[in-house]
Amino acid sequence: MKRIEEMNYYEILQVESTASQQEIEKAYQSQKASYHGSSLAHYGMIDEEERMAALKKIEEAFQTLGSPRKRKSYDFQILKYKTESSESAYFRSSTEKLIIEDGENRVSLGQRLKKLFFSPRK
Amino acid sequence: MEAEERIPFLQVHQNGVKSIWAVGGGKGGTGKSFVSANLAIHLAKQGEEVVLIDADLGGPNLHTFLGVKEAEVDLGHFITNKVPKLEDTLITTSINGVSLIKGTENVLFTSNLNYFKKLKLMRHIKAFEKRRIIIDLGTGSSYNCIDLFLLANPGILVINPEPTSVENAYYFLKSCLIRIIKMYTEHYQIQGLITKVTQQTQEASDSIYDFLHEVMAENRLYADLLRRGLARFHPCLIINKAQSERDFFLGQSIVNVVKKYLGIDVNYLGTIPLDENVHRSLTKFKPFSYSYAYSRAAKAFPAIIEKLSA
Repeated sequence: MKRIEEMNYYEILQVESTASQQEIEKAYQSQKASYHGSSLAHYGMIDEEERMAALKKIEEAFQTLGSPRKRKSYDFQILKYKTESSESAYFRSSTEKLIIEDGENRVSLGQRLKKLFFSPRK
Repeated sequence: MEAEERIPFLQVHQNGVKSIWAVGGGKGGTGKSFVSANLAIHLAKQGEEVVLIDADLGGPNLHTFLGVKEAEVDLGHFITNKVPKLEDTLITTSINGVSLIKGTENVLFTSNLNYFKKLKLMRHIKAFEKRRIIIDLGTGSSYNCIDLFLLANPGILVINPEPTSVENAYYFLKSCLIRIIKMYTEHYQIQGLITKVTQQTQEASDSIYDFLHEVMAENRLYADLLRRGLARFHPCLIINKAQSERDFFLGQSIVNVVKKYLGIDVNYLGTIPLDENVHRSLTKFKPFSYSYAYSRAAKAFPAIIEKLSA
């Protein structure tokens, strides 16, 4: 579990890193509506200050991911960070069982970079 | 894995053959019994044989939604050992394919169901030979409610578009998380965490988020174990009594908020519109989806069942 301030922009908008621009736009609208002052969805879960902070983070995430150019640069940054820290550390310290379970859905770095830079965006 | 199989919560989740659905949600009056009854009716219409169990131990009324006024045997007979098997309390209903275990009116006794009787009930539910079982749960977030909710695959939350209902549903979900952690820590005898979880459940001093975060951060191995346990929890959600356009968007918004702040993937099943005919069918003791099969509320069920069965 991560705190909202620890989440990357994809996690904030709750989309896959491979999401199309259309999916990102849709997720942004959905997230924005969830934390709107008139929505009941946040009632009993977070206070007003946290709601405002969530909305700010959502806007910030969309400012970047909503622009294909900014998104490409951001993707490069988070991929670089993941390679250097969290992902490799996770594999080193996890048990054998968890590597097998979680490894199934993981895509190699080469494949991810190829997808990021050579797949056409909608 | 062998050890995990002894945890009730995991057994059913690993067994894809039998489906046990449990309908809960914290607050009273959200329409849990209405949803349970009509899920069963629609499954029966599709040719399924369904067992409905009224596990609302504090105030059962599922039978009324099915037009059943009285029964010679009920859940109380099983709980008080008057019949040896849970199946012995099954009664037929006017709906072909739907049988019922009526809740007991001996409220004082059953609402305080003790631990061993609860385990016995859960054991018998799991051993049922029927493939489709729907458990209608009571109000609140007691261990009795939560354990039966976690026994199911999946548990279905029924929420109304009202602040009180949303608030209680979140409390219910947080209680489920604490219960899962407690089951794991007790099962694996993780002493430090048992103390911490017990303290949390007694004092409820920290927010659930901070509590989980602290537990996760304390020990990598335990954190992985708990992470696996929590990742298996996938409750479903139905918004009942929706009236405005805003109400129809509430389900997805709740999914978003729960994912972000509790890390739970909720499967949103859909929205059932508010329907005055529900009241009419109740006062006539007629099952709703039969009397008003073409109403908007009745028409919402096939899509919900399709998602549940996917």
